[in-house]
Amino acid sequence: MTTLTSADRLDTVQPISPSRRPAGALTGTGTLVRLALRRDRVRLPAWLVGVVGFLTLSAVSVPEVFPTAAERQARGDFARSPVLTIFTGPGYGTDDYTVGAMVANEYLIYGVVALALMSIFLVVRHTRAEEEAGRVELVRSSVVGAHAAPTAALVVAVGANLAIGSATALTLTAAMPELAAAGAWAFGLSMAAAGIVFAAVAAVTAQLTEHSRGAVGLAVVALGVAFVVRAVGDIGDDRTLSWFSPIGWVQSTRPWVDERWWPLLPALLFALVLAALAYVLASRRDVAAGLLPARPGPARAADPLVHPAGLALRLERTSLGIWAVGLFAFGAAFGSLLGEVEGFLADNPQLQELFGAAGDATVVDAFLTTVLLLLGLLAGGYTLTVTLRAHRDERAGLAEPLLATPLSRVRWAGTNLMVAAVAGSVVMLAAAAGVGTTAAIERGDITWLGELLGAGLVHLPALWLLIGVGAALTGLLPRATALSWIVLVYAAVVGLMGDVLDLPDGLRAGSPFHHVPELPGGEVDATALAGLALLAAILIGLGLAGFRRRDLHTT
Amino acid sequence: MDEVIGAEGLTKAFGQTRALDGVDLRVTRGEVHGFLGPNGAGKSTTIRVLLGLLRADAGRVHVLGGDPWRDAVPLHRRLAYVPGDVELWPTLTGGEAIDVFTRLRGGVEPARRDELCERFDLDPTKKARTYSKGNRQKVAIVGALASDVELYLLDEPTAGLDPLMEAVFAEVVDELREAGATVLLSSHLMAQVERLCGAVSIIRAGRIVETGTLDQLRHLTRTTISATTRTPADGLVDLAGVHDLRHEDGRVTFEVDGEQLHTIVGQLHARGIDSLVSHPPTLEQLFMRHYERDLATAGDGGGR
Repeated sequence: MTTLTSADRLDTVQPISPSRRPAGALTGTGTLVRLALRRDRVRLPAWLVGVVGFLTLSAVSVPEVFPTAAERQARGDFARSPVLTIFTGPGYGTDDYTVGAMVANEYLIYGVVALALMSIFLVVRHTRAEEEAGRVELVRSSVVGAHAAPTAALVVAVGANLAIGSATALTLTAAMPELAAAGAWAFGLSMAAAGIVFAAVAAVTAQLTEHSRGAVGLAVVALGVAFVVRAVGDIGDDRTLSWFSPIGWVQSTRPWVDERWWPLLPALLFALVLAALAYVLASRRDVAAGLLPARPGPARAADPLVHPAGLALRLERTSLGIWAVGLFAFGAAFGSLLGEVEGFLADNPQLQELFGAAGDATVVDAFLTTVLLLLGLLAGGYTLTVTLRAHRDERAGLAEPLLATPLSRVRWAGTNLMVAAVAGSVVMLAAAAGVGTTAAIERGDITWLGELLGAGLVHLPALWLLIGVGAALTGLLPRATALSWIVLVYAAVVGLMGDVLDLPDGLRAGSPFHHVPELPGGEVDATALAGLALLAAILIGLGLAGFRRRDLHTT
Repeated sequence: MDEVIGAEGLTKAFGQTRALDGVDLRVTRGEVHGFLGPNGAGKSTTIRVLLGLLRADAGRVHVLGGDPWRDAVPLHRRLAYVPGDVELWPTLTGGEAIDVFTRLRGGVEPARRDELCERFDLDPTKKARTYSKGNRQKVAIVGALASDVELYLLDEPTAGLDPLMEAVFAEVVDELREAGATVLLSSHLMAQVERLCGAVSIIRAGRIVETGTLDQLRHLTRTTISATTRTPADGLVDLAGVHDLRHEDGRVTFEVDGEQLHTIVGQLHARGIDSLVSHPPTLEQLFMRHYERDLATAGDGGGR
């Protein structure tokens, strides 16, 4: 045992000024960076391999699927149409559609979205999720500065984005000699810059909400807004609107066409401003608190709440509202473009051949089908999160006290799946109604609303199948429920890239959305829809039976 | 004898870990049965098997005359449960969570619910995310104890409660017993079990190592005696049945096996007793005896 003399104590104890942050708000950042890298030692390499592998394989397939310059040029003409522009890029180089121009125009967006999502998950995982779990208290009680945790998360995010961007550039130049190094670096760094912007966005949203799910949700909404703003801007006559979107900035580097680097500057400046905002917000709140104060609520439960469906709906109602309004707005933005899409063929006579005799009507239908697919995939993502709520609640120990009441497992899990089906339908139909409303206004014809609602309705069996996959995994392979996301990612690859990758029909059939009738304009194949519904029912049955038979997850 | 819980040879493994290794447990109607053991001994696993949340790998079990796995729903109408680690929906208030639990079980008298909220000093209008661990625990306790059922399964219910609330909890459990309910109370707090329970089962490493009424268990073990005598109490240490003998300021303190009590008190008497304090074995001592073997085997590794 050691004793301190009073003189020692006077020397060692520093007065603490309450009004100012003491120096060393970043103390311990290095340790936290190492901790984050240790925790993510599987995740980050998986993202690297996944993103680099996907982009490289896709790029390599371009010269195989489009071997001649003429074929590439035909694709370039098509790429200028709104049908492709929605989910590709601004169309630089489409008048001389080289392999590089095509890779940049059509694939950069996937790298951007992937790295943005990776960054959002990463930053929230190491900031708000840690606070929510109560671990930050333990960390902050040791010699760690107030801003060390968010700084560490941002350092890891910036590092991961630069690593994946550089790896993409190096792999692309190595795999494809026809792609110049400068373009490859423009491509890789553009992706990385977008990822860094959304890491900073997540650092801000992590300050606003108390729950990590809410923080991720807000950041993903920001990503969605950035995506729509650039899509609407790119489809429009000039790209003015695209300059209001970080995705628009990084897509303006024109890799392999005529590289320019300055559009990366606004992205980096924006990221710095957001990071500063996150620090300011963080200084104004307590550990684990959100910025919005908690208010008292009812002392008694309303009648619907004590019914299992009422409970599940109540727990989902905020996110359901946000998703429904969000996808309605998303859809409405696309529906409002109908006039421009229609005028498109008149301006591009060389494309009229491609779309055949029906001309305008075909382009409009193809555009709307693509929009509905995009909205269907997003609604599918939401449906899956609701489907997996039972699994999350079970892991968190919330299911245990409920299932110790006379509520049977099948009723609890089944009710949850029903709520997922209802919530998914509401979101899908809201999205379709959004497209339909602005389309009807644009065309001055109310029947468009009905047409689009019909097009939304036929997507529901595909959503049910996603529910079935989630339910089956929850019941039979609870450790592997994350695999249900692979079905959605696969559906996205098939739906958005099936043509350009020239995927055989057998592979495309693996996507639930492949069996959805292409409305408006297409034929409704009732057998396919019934098949989806039946398969969904079988999977749900298997999942519930499995859930009834297995042990509950306990801590 | 009306058996409310009967388990025989329950085993349960999670991967390589053997959580239950042949648990036998009998709880009679109307008793408050203490279920003692350290963390990781298998208390929670046993209770989850009794609830049908987990299925035992082997062994037989019945609760209120039914099979907890097969008849989970009808049995759950007749019992209430407080989990050891209470998690609540962060966006619901404590009052809403209580109502969800109680009304799923068939409803309670609002007056009883409000009375318990008041006695446990719980504000039901707060969102669950603002509750401390102790307050989350109170929500689960009120949600369970407000229900009028035959059997209460309580898994370390007072972990996180302050001593004042522990006393309130003890009062409520006394009332339940007087009303004829059966309670299985898992705990690692000896004092709590001594205060509340008529019968005890001690679990260690997935096995019940001791079971019986408190009196029966005490009989099997040692009484603590502390005495001052006129002539020095020297030769006692060599007598059979005397343990842990210490001399302090002319006072001798030791433990004596139940069956030797008569002989030893005779020996003290022969030396002339000035003062004598004897108290029955605490559960702590009961419990520690079952761990002495473990401590002895662990001795060469981490012994003091």
